[in-house]
Amino acid sequence: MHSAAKQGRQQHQMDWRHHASLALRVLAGIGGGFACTVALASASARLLVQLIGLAGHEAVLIACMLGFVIYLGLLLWAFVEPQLWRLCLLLLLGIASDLALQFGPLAARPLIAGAG
Amino acid sequence: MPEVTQLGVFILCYLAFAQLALLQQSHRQKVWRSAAPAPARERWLRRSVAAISFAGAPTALMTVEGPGFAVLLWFLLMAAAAIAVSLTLTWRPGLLRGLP
Amino acid sequence: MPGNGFRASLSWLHTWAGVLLGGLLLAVFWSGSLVVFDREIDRWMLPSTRLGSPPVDLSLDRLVVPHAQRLAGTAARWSITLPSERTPVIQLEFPNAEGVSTRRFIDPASGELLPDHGSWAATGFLFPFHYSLHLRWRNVGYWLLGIAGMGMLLLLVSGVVIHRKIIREFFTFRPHKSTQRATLDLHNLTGVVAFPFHFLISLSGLIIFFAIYFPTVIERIYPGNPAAFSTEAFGNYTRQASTEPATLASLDAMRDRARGAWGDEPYMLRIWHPGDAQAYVEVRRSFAREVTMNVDRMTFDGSSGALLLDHRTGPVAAIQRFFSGLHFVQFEHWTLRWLYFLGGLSGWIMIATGLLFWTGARRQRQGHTGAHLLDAICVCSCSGLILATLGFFIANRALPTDVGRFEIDRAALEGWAFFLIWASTLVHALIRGAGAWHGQLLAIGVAAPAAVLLNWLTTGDHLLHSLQQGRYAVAGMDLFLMLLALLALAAARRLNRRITNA
Repeated sequence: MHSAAKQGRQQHQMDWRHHASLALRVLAGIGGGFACTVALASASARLLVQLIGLAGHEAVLIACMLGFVIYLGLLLWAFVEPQLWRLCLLLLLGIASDLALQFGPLAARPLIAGAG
Repeated sequence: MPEVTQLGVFILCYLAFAQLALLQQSHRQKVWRSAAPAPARERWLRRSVAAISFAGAPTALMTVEGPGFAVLLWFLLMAAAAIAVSLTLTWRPGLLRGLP
Repeated sequence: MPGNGFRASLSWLHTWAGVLLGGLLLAVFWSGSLVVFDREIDRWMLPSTRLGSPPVDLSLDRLVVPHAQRLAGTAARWSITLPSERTPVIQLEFPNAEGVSTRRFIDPASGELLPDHGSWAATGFLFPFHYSLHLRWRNVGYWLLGIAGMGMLLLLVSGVVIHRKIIREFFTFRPHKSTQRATLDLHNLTGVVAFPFHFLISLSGLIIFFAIYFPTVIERIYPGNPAAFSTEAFGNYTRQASTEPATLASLDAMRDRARGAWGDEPYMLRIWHPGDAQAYVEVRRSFAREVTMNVDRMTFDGSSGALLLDHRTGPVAAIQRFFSGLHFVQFEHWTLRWLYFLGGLSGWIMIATGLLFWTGARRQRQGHTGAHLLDAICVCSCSGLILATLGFFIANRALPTDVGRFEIDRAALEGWAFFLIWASTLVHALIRGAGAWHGQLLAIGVAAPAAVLLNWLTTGDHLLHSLQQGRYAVAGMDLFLMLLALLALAAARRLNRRITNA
């Protein structure tokens, strides 16, 4: 009788963890994925201006259009990726890359092509 | 008149899709009531006809319409043709018997 | 479950996204399909605009400016849309005294101001419903549509992946088999065969609103100055009004100058701060000839007519505007317009069959346990929404035009008819469960011909008369309504047979 109760409790614990993992995955995928997409799009726009010399409005348009495709990819991966930690890590890396560009070595270079 | 080309392309895509459908077992049974799978020569023939038709469709459209319109028309006419073939197979499969 | 295998994860995602977003997507696809012919529906809902082909040349100074000065003398802007084949009237739009956008129509041949029907019609109600559900608070409507759009892309990709026999069942449709089999077949058929259309429509819809979803990207490149982005990308010119009055220069001269520069017709003029010394006039180029919704725009000084800004569509903006154009369908191409309408309806069928299949499967698994919220949402989003639309059309024909006497916004009443009927179909479905289908389909079978009848009684344009007079838009609408009634009644009869045979 004791072992049955213990098994029941273990089952209950597994369900709890399972639901939490699923909730985290959904939040990470939808919310984190969007934050990562915005970060990657902003970073790409910036790089397009600073490294390729595209006009500001052109870089914005290209980055935004690609943003939807990037978000689609991230969303699909968020639900397919078996290891939740890999998903969270990559999303954070995406967000970090944008922050790095904002405050890192390239930050000093001018944003508007031809302005400097 | 561009509508003539559009109709022509629709018919071309319809025939092309019909060729591909007639290579599939379930549809062959419906059209000819025989379960025999297509011999290699028939398979090659039907696929070639379909390929030529599918290549001809966007070419014809490009020459008559602008590139933007041609691309949109191609997607949509293909979809319409595929659905038309599907509905033919569902309700009037005998109509496809005469196709070479 | 997600993370437990590629196909299994996407199957889970497809089911959940479909269940959560199905109703919303049905509303978007239904309104979207109708709105392909929004200008034709407008002719039906605004009878005074059922005019013949507009004259090729017309004088805005003579025909429009006097009306604008009388109706909108103190308004902050006038928008004048030139007539076309599909819209045979001049449209004057301006914010009224309360700042609410108001439209009046002018006969392009006589210059007569057409009577105000007090209706937003399709372009003013169904179209905004399609892209915002009329939820304007804090852009909630746009964000819901964004979720719907991304969800649609997910559903499409996951659907193709989990469809095991995609080649083998490419043409398969077996309506003679069980309802569940036939429903799934139709879902797969409309989904696979029109996949490029559904994908591009969803993606392009999202791309139109890129500035709402990615303002951060604009902010990153144009910190604190988003207007600069608008000017560089789309030729948006702005300047403040002064308080000194000035007379407006000739709009015809500006239009002719733009026409000469483009070799193409303008479709709209927008006058900012009319009557002010700092007034300026935007002339925008027509979208009729190509898919790309160009942003060729010439902006003139209001009092002198001098050219302030001549913007031509840049190559990258042209890509974004190509996507916008393939969604908006503002180009002149009747075959494509019809194909879009059918494509949109095929998308609606795809989503509806998907929801029906899932609710049917759930009912089979759990036994007939009566009404469930999702069954009700399914009914409400399909037949319920159709009924709401018919209610909107009927209210348009049935409400007297002089209701404005009682300080009631007649146009808003039509909108209320739409939403109240929609809400009542949900209540009906919650009470009756799956049995609500039959009642609502019968109601469609009655309401649609009623709308046709009302059109005849209130305007004298019955089907033969419309065809005779060349009013194809009105005739088309009446025919569509009759066809809708026939399909609904046929579906109701088929439903009845299945229930009695079960």
